[in-house]
Amino acid sequence: MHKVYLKQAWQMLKEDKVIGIITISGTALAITMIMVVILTQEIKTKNITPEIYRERTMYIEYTREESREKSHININPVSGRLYKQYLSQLKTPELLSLQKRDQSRISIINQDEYLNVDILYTDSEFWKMYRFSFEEGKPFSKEDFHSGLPTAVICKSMAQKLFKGESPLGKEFLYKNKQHRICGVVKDISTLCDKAYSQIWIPYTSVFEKMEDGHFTVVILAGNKNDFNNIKKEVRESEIRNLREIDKNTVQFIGPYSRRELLVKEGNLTNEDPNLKKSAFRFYLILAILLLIPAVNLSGFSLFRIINRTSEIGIRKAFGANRKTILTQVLYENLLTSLTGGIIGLLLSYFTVTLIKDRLFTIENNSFGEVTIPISSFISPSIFFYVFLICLILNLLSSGIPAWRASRLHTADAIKS
Amino acid sequence: MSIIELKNVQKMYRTKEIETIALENVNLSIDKGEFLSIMGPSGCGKSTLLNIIGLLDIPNRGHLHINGQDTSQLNDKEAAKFRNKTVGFIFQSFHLIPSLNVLDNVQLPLLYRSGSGINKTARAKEVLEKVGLSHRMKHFPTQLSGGQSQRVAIARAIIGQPEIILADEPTGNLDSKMGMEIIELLFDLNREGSTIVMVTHDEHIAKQTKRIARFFDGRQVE
Repeated sequence: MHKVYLKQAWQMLKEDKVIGIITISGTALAITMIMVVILTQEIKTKNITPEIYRERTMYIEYTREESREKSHININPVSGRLYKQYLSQLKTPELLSLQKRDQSRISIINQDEYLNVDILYTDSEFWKMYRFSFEEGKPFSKEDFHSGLPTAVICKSMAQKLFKGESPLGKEFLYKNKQHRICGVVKDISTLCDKAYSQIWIPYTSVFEKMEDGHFTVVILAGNKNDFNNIKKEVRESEIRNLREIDKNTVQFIGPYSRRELLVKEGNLTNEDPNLKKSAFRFYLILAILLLIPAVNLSGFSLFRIINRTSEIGIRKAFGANRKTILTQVLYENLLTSLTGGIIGLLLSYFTVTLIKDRLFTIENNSFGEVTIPISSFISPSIFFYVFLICLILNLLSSGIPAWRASRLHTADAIKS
Repeated sequence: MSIIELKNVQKMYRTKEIETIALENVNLSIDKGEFLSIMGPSGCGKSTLLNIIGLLDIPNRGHLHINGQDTSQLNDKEAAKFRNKTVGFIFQSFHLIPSLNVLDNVQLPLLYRSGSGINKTARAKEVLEKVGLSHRMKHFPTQLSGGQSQRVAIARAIIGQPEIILADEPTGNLDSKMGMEIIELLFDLNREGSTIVMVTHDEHIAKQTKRIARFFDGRQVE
């Protein structure tokens, strides 16, 4: 039966090309708009190599220090001192790591040429939080980190710029008047991975005399998402427990927040938890509006087609179709149009996202790297599921009422029409 | 033995302003294997009667029994199933589905018959062979002549082997030669056991059938 429905739907598209093209294009454009919104959201929040644990990672980017008299408030990145006093002993997280982003100049020893680069100061735990693909060598070790050895991991394109095809392993570059020896080379990272991204990664112990001197973002890896609340609770308890009589200021960490929470906060530096439900409601409302407008337009075309097929529906009923089968057939035939439009729309959304990626994904600190969208972000089961779901909803919205009307037609009148 | 029995059937159409009585107190009994012609002037209720017998319309009053079953109790789904199994329709304007080819048009009733175990394509080819159109299976209705279209419509009506065939002026859109060929086909079907109820304006054709029921202003007059 479904084969015949499909054959007929295809035949009708062929017979009425103009209506077919308008319907498919309308659907494709609607799907494009919606998929651009969804893809952007997915790329910002879902796991992308090397940030493969995004969904169970939390971040503390700032602290809020308030004088006991409440006369002044300071908001700063987390200092090494506060991390050590308040956070380093947290029990619930699986891993804790510190990182600090910088842009600076490096050069090769005995060469006058300088290169501007993105640098990330971090620790040895960092390499366990992400899955980098090493082309050569390995990350700096725990021992290297604790000894403050000036060592570095660099990305492939930087290695190419610095050493023009020679193996960079064991070679050195000059940064802040210190010779840093290269211990590993990784594949280039897209700036979309805004936490893991850099061109050079060095242990912060090789830059700061004491850890307390630096200001960092704290990255917390939870065992699973369910631990998020416990981690937050533990941080709050730590704030109270570790506050000493001699401290002039009370300390509150802004966070820890999940990636989704950080996106919702959009740079808001208060320590109130973001309202994820409200944000999700707003997101789905935008999707609903984006769906509803084309659905209303497309329903006009569906109705036009149904009116043209009134007699056929009467005939089908005369030969044994009941209301349910008519309803199913109309929805099924429209689904073919919706899915064709959906596939075109999905391809168009890939193209659009790639075209306007720099506008969709703001690059932190105007990095020197590129926004490259991994193919896995486009071709994932969740994306295909979304497209199918949206086609289904669009189909129901646009042809549901015409199909229902068709199924209720009086058989004898319909045949005569 | 009656296969179709109408008892005191009345059909009325209402609009805001007027009431039109299409059928008034019709009592009609049609035997199994009979070939009945229904005649009368335009607007006398012939097609309404055919629609009621075919469960395409519901009487306002009275009862229709088919094979002894009171059809007034059937819901939409049951009525559709009943039509599918028991009745085959042939219309004056053929009413083939333009976006389906001949083979798919003929198979239509079998699409709505679940679990029949029938090989639909083979059966469709068989009935197309019977009406002499097996060479036109892949053609679309717009590529057929009037006579050929009506043959396809007959093939569609008989593919499900219904006991009753309802034909509403089957020769009305055909020239006399084509018309006679179609009537011959209907006689063949009747000889094979089908009960046929045919609406016609053609006295000559009607006289060849076993019985004529004449209607005037919604009433059976003969």
